[in-house]
Formats: sequence, structure tokens, C-alpha cells
Amino acid sequence: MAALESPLPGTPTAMRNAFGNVLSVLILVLIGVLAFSIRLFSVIKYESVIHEFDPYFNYRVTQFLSKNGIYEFWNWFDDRTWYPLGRVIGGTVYPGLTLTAGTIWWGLNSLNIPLSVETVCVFTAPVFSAFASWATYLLTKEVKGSGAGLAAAALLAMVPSYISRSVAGSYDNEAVAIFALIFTFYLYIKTLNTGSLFYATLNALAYFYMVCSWGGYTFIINLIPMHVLLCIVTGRYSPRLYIAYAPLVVLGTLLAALVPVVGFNAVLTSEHFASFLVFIIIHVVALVYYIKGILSPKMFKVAVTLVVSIGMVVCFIVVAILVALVASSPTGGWSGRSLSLLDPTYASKYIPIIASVSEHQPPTWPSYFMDINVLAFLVPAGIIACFSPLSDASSFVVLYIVMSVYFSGVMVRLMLVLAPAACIMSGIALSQAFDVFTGSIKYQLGASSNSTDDAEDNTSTNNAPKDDVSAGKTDKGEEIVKERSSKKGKKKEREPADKPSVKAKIKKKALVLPLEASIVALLLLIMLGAFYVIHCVWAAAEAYSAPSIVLTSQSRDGLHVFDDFRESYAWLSHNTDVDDKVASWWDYGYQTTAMANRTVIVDNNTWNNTHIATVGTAMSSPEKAAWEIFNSLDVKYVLVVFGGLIGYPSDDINKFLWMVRIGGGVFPHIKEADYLRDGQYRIDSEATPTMLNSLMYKLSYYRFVETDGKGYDRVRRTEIGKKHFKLTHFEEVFTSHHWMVRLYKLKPPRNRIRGKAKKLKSKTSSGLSSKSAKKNPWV
Amino acid sequence: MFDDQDLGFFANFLGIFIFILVIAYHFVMADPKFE
Repeated sequence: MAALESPLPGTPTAMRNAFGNVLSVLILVLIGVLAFSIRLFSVIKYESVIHEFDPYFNYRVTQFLSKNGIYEFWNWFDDRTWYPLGRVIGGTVYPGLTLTAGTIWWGLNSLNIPLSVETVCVFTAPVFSAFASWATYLLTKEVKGSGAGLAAAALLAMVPSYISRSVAGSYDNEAVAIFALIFTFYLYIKTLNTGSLFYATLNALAYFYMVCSWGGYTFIINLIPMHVLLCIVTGRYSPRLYIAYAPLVVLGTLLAALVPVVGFNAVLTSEHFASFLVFIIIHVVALVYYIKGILSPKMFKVAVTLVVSIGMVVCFIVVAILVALVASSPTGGWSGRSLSLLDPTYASKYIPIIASVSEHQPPTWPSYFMDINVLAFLVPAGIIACFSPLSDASSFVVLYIVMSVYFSGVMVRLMLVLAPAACIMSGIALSQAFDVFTGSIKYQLGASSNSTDDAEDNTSTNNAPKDDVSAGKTDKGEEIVKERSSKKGKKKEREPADKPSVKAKIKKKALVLPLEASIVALLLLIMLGAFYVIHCVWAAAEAYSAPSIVLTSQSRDGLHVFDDFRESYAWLSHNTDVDDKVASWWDYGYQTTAMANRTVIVDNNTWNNTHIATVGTAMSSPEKAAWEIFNSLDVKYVLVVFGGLIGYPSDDINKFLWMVRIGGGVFPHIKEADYLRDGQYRIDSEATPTMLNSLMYKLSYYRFVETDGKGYDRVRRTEIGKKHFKLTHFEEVFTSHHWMVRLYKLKPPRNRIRGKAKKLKSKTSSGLSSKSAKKNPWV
Repeated sequence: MFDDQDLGFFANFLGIFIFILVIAYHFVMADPKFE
């Protein structure tokens, strides 16, 4: 402040900017440190370990990549999953995350920093969270200036929704994809603001990275066309809009098609059609503007009638062809997940495998408060701020928040897409408030002393009259936005420029607040920020840092650690043959292959519904039928997760109805009603015989009564219905310390030759010729 | 050793400090042009 007030004649603005720049760099560095360190609770509280389910697969793929190189990776056919089908990993995985972590590992190793692949994988997400914060700064800066950018970046660095997917160890696609998403949006807005082909090309590359990283790229390729359409409809078409959009569609689609998992889907599936339709529309509009420029108004009217009539016919034909193409594909060209976005009830009606995943369920209201906290209240203020004045960039973020709010309401997983939008909006809102209050304080403090400075400043800024205090910043982006807005906008701008508005003066005066009021308001805002920070740190430390692979619970006796999963996978890898097949519900497929290195029948990729339904049917069937199904799949061990002893609710019995539903979807003899007593899911003595005799029930509750003598299930809070029974086709080989994981071995088939020989004997004794027995002694 | 409580304190402190710095930035960059 002293530096600001020090009389440096002629350059107070330059000094202010210089000091501001240094401060903003410092803030950005601190934001990076915060974004990284707030995600380390999982490492400090637990250990440096990969979390949950999908990250284990990503980790395994990264290990393969770092060991065998990129070419082997593209051609990798994994015969350890989806037995006996296998899976072409190189062609079915989004390679962005793996390649990123692989490159970081390679780079560090070539710099003689010998980090293990696991360490790199664990810390990839926190590092990219820092990048995402910086990208948010850039994006918001383009929309509403540096101040808003810093506020938004600070909010994003610690927003719980994003933390939940990016703590150290959460090595999943979203870790890098959110950065890619925000960065792509930034480059789009940057191109829109500058009209630079350089940024347009970078935008296409960023989009390519996003396509490599996450299936959520379809959000970008639908949101940007929607924004372009919005600009066109509201008369904001400009060559800059064309440059921002056309190269993205052409280059972006070409690049997206290079990613094996996307391939021709980039031009064949409905998710991408909106971009092509808008691509056509923007060309038509560009042509109209071009013709308008070279024709006289009269001729233009004639041309418009001609073009509109021809255009209508062509559009009709194109739409008809598109509709026919879409209708001819089985799902109407839309993938199940996308359809459930448009119609939230779609998945629960038709695709149980999608509905069965908890993160595909709609969120509850408390989860909004948990995941974005005070941002939920700041967002409306940010939206209002975006409308004064409305620019192309600010209309984009408004559209972004509207769409992401809708999508997050459909699927709790998409809260992740909402979080950056909410941070941007809240950052804008906070920044506007800070502007008003700090401006008032500064004015009130300096009003008496430097009236001469004020006069000087006024003359220097008279060329660019600003509407309000918030616009008092000399941000480049803001100026560009104003210069570049549509013709309508230009006309509007010219008018006030001619007569330095009385209105603006009145407004400015109205915005000056008393010193005390401004200070109190700022203190209240700091308290609000502190509340947000404390909530975020609490969420990071307590709610989102559990690795799911190791569980803990706090009781009077102290901390209890449940390390049953790793115990069981270690048992599998040490006590079974390397080629043995392990059947489990698909949730545990990735972990089994990554941690136990054993072949699994189904895993979390869920690409083959029939295969999953087969396992679901086996789990839902009586022992003998299940044994036959598993035996036909060469399965040697069956793994079930059971939480009844310690009260772990995410166990197989709680997932069992989904197994029944998914199994029944393919094999109609499995009926959900058979497992329910009067529509209720029960495991006690009132449970149906089908339920009590199902394999899942038996494998979960085998010998359970021996633990407490009653067989009390702590998850379902009831005594089990069938307590004393023996297994006929399976034998228990391992049960973990807290009974969370139970492993069973399929009993070997009965000696068929002996049995046949006995039968034959009895048949020969009853007068059958011995010739037939000799024919095929092995049958 | 740096435990989770220390990290919690550090993160809370840093988060609030960043907020204050952001306000300071706005103060520095504020250019009041009131009549």
C-alpha cells in the first residue's frame, strides 16, 4: 500500500499492476501448494497406496506401459480378465492418464529420480489438481479478470467434490480429465476473445488430451456447440466465434478418431452429432454475413429468400438422413450412459448394470452441500454478475453452470463437472463483492489525501468509461470482450462512449460504501471463506481420504484397522496357481488381477453384460447349478465379500439383488420376486427358500453362526435365517481376519469314469453287449 | 513427524491465508474512480 501511495509521478497504474502481478503469482503458487497438500491426508492417515477399484486397473496398465513400452501397450491383449474372452486393453482404455503418469515416471527416471511407478501413480492426481486450479484461474481471468480468476482458483483448489476424486492414491481418469476439461474451455474462451488460430489449434490439442483421458469429453463436444448456437441465435456471431469453433470440430474430430477407444465413434455416434450440425449452421451463418457484406441491401433480401428456401430443403433432407441413421441403430445411436443423462429413468428401466453403480444414482440435496458447500449459495450471485455485462465468455460460463447443474442432478458422479463451474461462478461473485468493498475502502482512505492523484487517474482512464466499480480493473480480457462483442453490442457501446454517461456517474457514486460497512462486510466474507476452507479440509481429511482397500474405525478401544482385502489378495497370490481363475462379483475384478495377479471372469470394465449376467446367475443359483456354471468357466475359486461380522455395508449380500436383476436380465429363469418376501429383501428366517439356498447366501453365511452362536448380521441387523448347513460343491479355503473376504474352492468333479464304469457294469450284467463299453471308455 | 492434525492445521491456515491474499490483491488492484 505504501508503494502504491508513494508518489511516482505518471505511473501509479503501472506500479499497481506490477505489485498486483507479483501478488497474483504468489497467490497462484500458494494455491498450487494448497491443492497438492490438502490431498495428502490419505497418505498421512493411511499410507501411500492406490485406492478403490478402477485405480488398481489404471495402475496395472501403467505398470505394463512402463515395463513394455508404448507399442506393446497399444497391442496389449489381456488374457487375465474376462476369461475366456480376454480384453484388448490397448484398444478399450482411455490412455490419457496412463500415458501421463508413464511419461512423468519416465521423465523422473531419466533425471535420475528413481521413483516407483506406484508413487508416481499415487501423486498424479494431487499434481493435476494444482494444474486444474491454475487452469481455472486462466479461464476465469478470460471471463471476468484476474481477481475473479484468483478467487475461483482458490475455491477449486479445495472444493470437496473434486477432492473426492483426486486425493493422493485416487489414480483415476478424472484426476487428469478435470484439468483437461477446464484447460480446453480456457483455450476455447481465449480463442473466442482473441480470434487467434494459434489458440484454436492449442484448443484442439487440449480437446484431444481430454478425449484421451475421459469419456466425459462428450460434455465438451456438446457444450461448445451449444454455446456457439447460443451466440448465433443471440446475434453474437463474429469471425472469432468461427475461428474458435470450426478448427476445434475439424482438428478435434480428426484427433479424437486417433484414440483407439473412440475411433469412428467420433463421427458415428449421436453424442457427436450436435457438433456437426452446429458446424453446418455456423458455415451457413458465415456465408450469410459474407454475402451481406458484398451485396446491396435489396439484393441481400432476394438472396436471403433464396438461401432460406434452399437451406430449408437441404436441412430437411440432412435431418431426415440423420434421424434415419440414428433410428436404425439399436439404442437409437446413444450409449446407455448418455441416454440416462437425457432421461434419468432410462438406466433404472433398461440397464441394471448402469443403475447398479452407486455413482450413477441421482444425488441427494445434502450431497450438494457436502460437495460444493457455500458455493451453492454463491453461484446465483455469480450468474447475475455474468450478465453485467454479458459477453461471449460470460455467456459460456453461464451455459456451463446451467448444463452441469442439470447433469449433476442426474448422476452423482457428474458433481465433478459441476464443481469447476460452481467455483468459477462463486469466484466471480466473490470477486465482484471484493471489488466493491476494497474499492470503497481504498476510496474512503484516499479520498481526503490524494485528490490530485484521482484527478490524474480520471484523465488517464477517460477513454474507457466503465460501467461500475467492478469494471474498474484494467484487465486485458475485459477490454477485448468489450471490443469484440457483436455488432449490436458495438452499437450500444458507441452511444455511451459519445456522452460520458451521467448514469454511470450516479452508479459509481451509489456503489461507494462507508468505510466501516466495507470492513465489516469483508470480515464477514473472510468468515464465509474460512467456513468453506474448514469444511473442505474436514471433507478431505475425514470423508474422502479413505482408500477403501484399508478400512478403519474408531471405537473406545482405539483405532481398528481392517486390512482384509490385501490379506486375501496376498493369500490368493501365494496359495493358488498362477493360472487359476477366480470368480467374484465384478466390483473386485480389477483388484484381483492387479493385487493377486489371478485371472478373473468379470471386472469393473463391465463391457460384456452377458458375462456379468452369467456370474450373477451363478451367485443367485443353488449350489449345484452354480457349481456347473463356474465349472464351465474353468473357475477354481470363488471370492465373496461379507460385512456381516464387522458391519461393513458394501458387501455382496447388499449387492445381491443387483446380481439377481442383472442375471435375470439375460437368463429369465432368475426372477427377482423369488428372492423377495412380500417385496422385501430379507435374510432372516422369513427369507424365501430361493434366497436361503442361493450360492451367495450360503457362501456369505457359511459357519457364520460359529462366531457368536446366534448368527447376528450387523449390517442387516438381524439374525440370519439359515444357520447350520454344509456345503456340497464348494469348500472354504480362506476367510480373512474380520471375515470380510471369504474364498471358496470348487470341489473337484466326481470321478466320472468310475461312476460310468459302475453303471456300465450294472448294464453289462443286465445283458448289454460289452462292445459299446469298449467303444468309448472315457465317456 | 508431520501427522494429519498438523496437515489439517497447515491446510486450514493456508486456505484462509489465500483468501486474505485474494482480498489483498483486490485491494491493490482497486482503482476507485468515484466523483
